Amino acid sequence: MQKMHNSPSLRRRLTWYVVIILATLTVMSGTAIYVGTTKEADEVFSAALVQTARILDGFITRETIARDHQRLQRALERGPTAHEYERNLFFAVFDADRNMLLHSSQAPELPAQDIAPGFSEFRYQRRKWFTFALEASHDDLLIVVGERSGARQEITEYIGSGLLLPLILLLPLVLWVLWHIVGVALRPLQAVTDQVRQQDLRQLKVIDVEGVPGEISPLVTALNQMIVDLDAVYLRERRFVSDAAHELRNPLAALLINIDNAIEESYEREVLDTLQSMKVSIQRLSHLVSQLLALSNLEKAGGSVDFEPVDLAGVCASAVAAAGTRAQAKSVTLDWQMPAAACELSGSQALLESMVANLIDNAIRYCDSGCRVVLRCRREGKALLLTVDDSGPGLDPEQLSRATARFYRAGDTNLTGAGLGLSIVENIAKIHGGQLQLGKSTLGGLCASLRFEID
Amino acid sequence: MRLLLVEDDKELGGGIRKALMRDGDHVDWLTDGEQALVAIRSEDFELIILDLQLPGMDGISVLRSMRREAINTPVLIMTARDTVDERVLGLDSGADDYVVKPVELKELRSRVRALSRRSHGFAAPAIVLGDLRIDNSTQQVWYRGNLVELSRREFALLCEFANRPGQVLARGQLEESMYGWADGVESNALEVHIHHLRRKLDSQLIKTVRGIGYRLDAENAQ
Repeated sequence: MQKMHNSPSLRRRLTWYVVIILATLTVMSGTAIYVGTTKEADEVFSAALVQTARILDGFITRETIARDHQRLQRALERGPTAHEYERNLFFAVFDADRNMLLHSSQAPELPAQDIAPGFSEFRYQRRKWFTFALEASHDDLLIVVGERSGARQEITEYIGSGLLLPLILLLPLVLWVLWHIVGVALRPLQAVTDQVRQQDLRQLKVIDVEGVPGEISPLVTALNQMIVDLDAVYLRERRFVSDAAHELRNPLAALLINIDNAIEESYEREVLDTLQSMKVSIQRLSHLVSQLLALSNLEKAGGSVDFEPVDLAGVCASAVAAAGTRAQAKSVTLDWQMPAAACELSGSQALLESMVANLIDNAIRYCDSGCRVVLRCRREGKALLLTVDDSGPGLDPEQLSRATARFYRAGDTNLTGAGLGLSIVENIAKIHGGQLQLGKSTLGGLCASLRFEID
Repeated sequence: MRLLLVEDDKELGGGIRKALMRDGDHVDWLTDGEQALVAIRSEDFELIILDLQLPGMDGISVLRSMRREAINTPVLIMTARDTVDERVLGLDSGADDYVVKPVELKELRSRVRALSRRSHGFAAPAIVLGDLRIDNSTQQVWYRGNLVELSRREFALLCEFANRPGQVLARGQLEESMYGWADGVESNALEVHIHHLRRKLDSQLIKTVRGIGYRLDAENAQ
């Protein structure tokens, strides 16, 4: 998976948006409930206060107070309290001079002089009290009924938290569910991503539009158009290389034949020398064209090579035999060490032959006369190892890193190679799931080793 | 021998024709596939060198047509196409050999000689007839153990006889294979070459068949 530090995740963003909206909604509805409940509770409690005041008004007169004061006071002070909320409620009765005549046991000390009929609030012992004062209908009494404000708040808080708490607790769950739902919804996008990632440049395939959601289908359609265009460009490029190489062959063939003609018809030593060196150049060009075509065909074939069981040792043996004359001509000793165990892998015989031939060709080409080239092939656990060692000049680290680049030729540029050999070797190795490694040989020169995993 | 070269590249065709003519072979050169097929039907060639990319009709079609018509002349395909599939297609369409451009002259020559040899039923590169030994690969001729220096034309003429030992070869047939329609025929050129061969080898080796032509008689030469 590629790192996506700079690109925001659609999933994360969507989830956050929904969570923020949900949280805002929760807070807003919570506030509305709180305010509404507080107001409603106020109404109910105020009504109750008024009601109580009116009942007291109906029963309490100067006469009943004077007659039953002792009994009333006793009844009011009788403990224990029957309900914890009792403590929050009180009543008191004043005469016209604001002397308290009668009061319930929890009644606070009221600022009697300030009490006016109707609703009012006051503080006593750091607590807020709501009171309702009513002028008695018979005597000039003032009936005050009160209630501690905490009671109302408790109720509204209770109602509010009862509604809000589940919402707050549910939020993580909602977040989790959302995360997964968004993930599921975005799955088609992942499928498209996978299809794009699996594209092989050699065999570009259009992405399946079926099942792709409407939101990303324009993107997929655009991608498909790009893939079609890209495929056309790639095909054209491959054709160009192959056509160009192909078209080069006719004039090259004519040049070669006519130079051969001139050589046969000429008797002057100097002219012959010139013609011979021209011929060498043409052979070099021909080699280049062949290698270019081979590389182009390799890239064209890519994944569509037919595999069969191939004996790598056999391929090596015949490649060594084929290169014998060239090695002899350059006085290079070519050794082939037969492996003890079978070296079979699944691959293309023709391509593997070309690969080994190119490796040997490369070694002989860069070796001076008298050098030694050793080809080895062996099985190592679940892998096949093919190495070509030479006692030639080798490559320095800087050259090593560039050796498989196309048209790269180390050292003496008068050498006849086209610089495509190792590129071809690497391509063929890749087709077979192998890897080319270049390093220093124990013989002193270059060691090219190929490793193929087999099962 | 008389060859047909079908190649649309002027320089290449000209070069090959020149080289093979120098060897004493007669080369008819055409640049068009359809014309080539017409010539193959009407003329008698010993070997055809065929390019595949041709104007008029492509080489494979020419090859298939002639094989369908039971014309068994050996065909050497000479083309720029070099993949295995293309080689297989060429050979399976009836070609006897396949060579990829660019080709060196000596390789082309040796392939032509090998095809010609095989079409006459010889597998070994040297033809031995009595005291006469002709080495096609080195173009050397021995008679009674002695190396005989022959010009290219004389060698080609001797090969014409050696390929058909004992057979009477008509004058016109020999002239055609030596010079063909494209050359200005010198009236007594054939006689001159026959005379040289008899002088260098043996006067009795090539017999004149009055009114018809000549015959190689290697067994009974004195």
